[in-house]
Amino acid sequence: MTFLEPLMLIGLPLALLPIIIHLLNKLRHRSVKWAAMMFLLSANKTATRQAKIRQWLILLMRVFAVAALVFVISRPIAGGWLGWAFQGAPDAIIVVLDRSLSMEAKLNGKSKREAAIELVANSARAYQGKSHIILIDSALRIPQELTDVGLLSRLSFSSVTDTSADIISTLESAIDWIQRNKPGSVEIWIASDFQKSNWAPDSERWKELVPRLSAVVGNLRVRLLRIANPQPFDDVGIVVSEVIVKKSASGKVLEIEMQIERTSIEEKNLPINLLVDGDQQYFEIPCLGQSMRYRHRIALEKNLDSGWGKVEIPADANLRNNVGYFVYNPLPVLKVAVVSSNTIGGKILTLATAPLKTDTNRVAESILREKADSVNFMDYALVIWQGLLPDNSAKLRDYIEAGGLVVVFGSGGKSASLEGIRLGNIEDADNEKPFKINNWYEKDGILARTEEGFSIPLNELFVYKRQPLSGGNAIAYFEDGSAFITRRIIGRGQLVVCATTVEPDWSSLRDGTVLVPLIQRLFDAGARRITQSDMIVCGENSLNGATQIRPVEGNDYRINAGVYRVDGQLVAVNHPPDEDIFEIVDETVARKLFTSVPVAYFEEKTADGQGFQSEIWRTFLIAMVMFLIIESILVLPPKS
Amino acid sequence: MSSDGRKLIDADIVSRLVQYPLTTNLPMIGTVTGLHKSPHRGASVEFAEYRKYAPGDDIRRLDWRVYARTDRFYVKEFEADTNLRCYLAVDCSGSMGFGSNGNMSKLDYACKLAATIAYLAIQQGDAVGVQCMGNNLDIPPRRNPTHLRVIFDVLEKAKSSGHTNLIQLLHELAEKIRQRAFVIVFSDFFCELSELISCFRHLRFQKHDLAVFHLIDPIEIEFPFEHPTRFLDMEEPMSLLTEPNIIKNQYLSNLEEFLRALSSGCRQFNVDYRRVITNENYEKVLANFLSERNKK
Repeated sequence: MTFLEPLMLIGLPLALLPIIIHLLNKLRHRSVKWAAMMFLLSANKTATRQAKIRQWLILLMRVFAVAALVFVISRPIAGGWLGWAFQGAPDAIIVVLDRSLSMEAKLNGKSKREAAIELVANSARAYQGKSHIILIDSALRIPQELTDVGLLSRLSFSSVTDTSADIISTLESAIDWIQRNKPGSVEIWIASDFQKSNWAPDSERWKELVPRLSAVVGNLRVRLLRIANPQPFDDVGIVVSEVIVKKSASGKVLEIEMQIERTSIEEKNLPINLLVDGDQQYFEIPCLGQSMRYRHRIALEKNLDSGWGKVEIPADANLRNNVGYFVYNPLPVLKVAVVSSNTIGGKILTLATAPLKTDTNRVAESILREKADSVNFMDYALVIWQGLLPDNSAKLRDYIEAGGLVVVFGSGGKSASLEGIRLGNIEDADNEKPFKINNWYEKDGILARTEEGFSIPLNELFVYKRQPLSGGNAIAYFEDGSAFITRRIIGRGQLVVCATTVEPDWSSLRDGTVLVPLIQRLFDAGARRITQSDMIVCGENSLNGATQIRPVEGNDYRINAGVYRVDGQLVAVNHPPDEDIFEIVDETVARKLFTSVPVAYFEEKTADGQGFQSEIWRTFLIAMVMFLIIESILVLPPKS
Repeated sequence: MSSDGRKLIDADIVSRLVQYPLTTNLPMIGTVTGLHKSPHRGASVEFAEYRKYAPGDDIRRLDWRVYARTDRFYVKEFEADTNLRCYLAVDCSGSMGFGSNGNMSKLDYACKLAATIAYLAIQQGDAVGVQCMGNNLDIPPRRNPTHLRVIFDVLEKAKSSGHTNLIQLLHELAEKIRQRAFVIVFSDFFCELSELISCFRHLRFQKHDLAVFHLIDPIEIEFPFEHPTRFLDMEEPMSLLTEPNIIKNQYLSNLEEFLRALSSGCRQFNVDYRRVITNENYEKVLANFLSERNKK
């Protein structure tokens, strides 16, 4: 609630007048000589508590009536999420608008984004001319001053996008604006659906952001407006997560991996319309659970070197996540760096990585440990490290964080640690009883069963020497429960560490039954960073260095999913997969994020947009009349 | 210096009230012939009863007609008329000094009533005594017209002050008056009701005719206070600060209940109860009192 005539609120203390008059009356009592004291004393004794309560109620009604009158004169305007007023207009209002794809879910015929814009516009109207109203949208994060809030819904900065929203970065843009313009008091209005992936409540960046917010402006308030999903909310989202071109005897085959997320848990078939180079294919896939991946193969009949396509699902609550785009391009040469100080181990690993140089696009390069510092790992799909670990792991960490994959086989027999995973001292097995592996995770990942359902024979491995592993998530174990392989996700990549090496005196890994599929799978996973570089996520601005970008299907690659020709190469832009996972940040967590900054939280479920900022003086007038009626009823003498 | 009563009685009013004789419903034992019935037989014109002749009776009282019809001697007896003793008991407690908004105080009003009644009674040959309860002023009844001056003196000197034990004084009065008398009490009766009624019963038991003038100030009945007020007790050193709005109803209810019970108690013991609001014309009050007693 806010007021069109806030100065009139100065008169609010007048509401205390009835109490003051009452107290003054009590102080200014007169004295009277009285004869009939016996009746007076007995009456005073028996005067009921009810009579006294009635007196106080009368007083209260008078106070309320005067207060309501002051409110009527102040011309209050109120909205469901704006009852936080009673304060003057701030110097600046920064509207942070979540334009992520999830905000396009329809709510009573309009999207959540449209509802948020309407609410914000209605609320900001009361401050127009009094405060600078700045819009910072989550997609472009460019501050725009609004001279007319009525135009908010028509601005390109508030239009639909297929991006995610990085709320922290958007708030950092707000801080930059505040630092540049130095307003005395600021209110930040954040209109969002509070999707967890957008807010990243676990991010360490919040701990830096909030103190910065408090520091840049003395008088700061934050209003959080959550636009909730309609109930029931039935939505299915699809993205193409991977496209691989495979050669077969009959020609090229396109393998498309689709990631499907849905709100329903009902088991049903999902119809999919697939378009590849203009050819259409229709099929249904059975959906179980809320999250699934589906791999579909289709022969490339036109046998083109490159092309594009899309998968579509039927319309639902959010139309923007019903299409996934893909492209395929000629396969690049994929390199593996095998870093080893031992030539036998290096040769075994090189062979396991690229056994047939002539028949694959995979190349293994053997690199001596001493020369590893001068190598740019970013060019490699996979880095295999055997032997002593690097003295400085910063380079490897940068590589992993950028999406690279590093696999480590032992640490040369010395106790060492790398990025949180520790390798202990060597443990030798008895000659007659080597260490055996009896338990490993084979549902998915690098140790998953084959497509035919066969397990990787880890149980047939013999390990004669091992270095105990600690830290990370183990995915294979020895019989005594000690970890055989453990891994850790770092940034967009991962680190995989094996407790033994491929050296003959360490294990039987050199046999290849385990090593080859393991290395090949790791290679596939690592290569994805390179092979899928033409499959980008909308809003991540991966094409900033491109000189020429032309849309094939789509409009603006920065905010719209589609297919674009970038410097002559096809690139598919898909909406962020996280936008399909609708996990929200609840009110308590959201408030905690802002720690000491005053926060008001409002939740809007109707998307009505009506009555959020209408004048409500009539309500107060009616309330005042009601108070006076009650007061007059109370002052009536009781029936004798 | 003796008073001629000008402060207490109004000659015009008295001259108009003279037409109403002060009467009593009970036989009175007086010393001289008067207007009132006596328990003894006498020589008035009012027939009382027949009685068998006894030696020594005055033969002039024989009813010869009865003798002719019955051949027996009967003496015809007549009611004796005598004077009455009238005791005027005026309550002089502190509460009787209360008078609001130009109205005379209850004590002044009571003195005016008592003085006028005393004048009328002495004029018709009755003996009148006055007791100012609380002031220790007690004048025994006399029928001498000069006695009036003494009565007026006493009434003019009467002052309201402190607490008066009305109950005890009334009991003492009942015991003190040996012969039948007409007792008139002037008070606001702010005391324990059951004990007050027992006083009335005591007086009636002693065969006294009893009339009470219950004096009330108009604002005691209306209680027109609205703002916070500190009420100072006129008899005791105490006060009460209260919101009249809160207690008004309860006060009026208590007062009404008291008045109803007092009236009922008086009726039970055949006490002539007169409620007097002090803004009423006292001539009218007395005229009603006298005339209604004559009708009985």
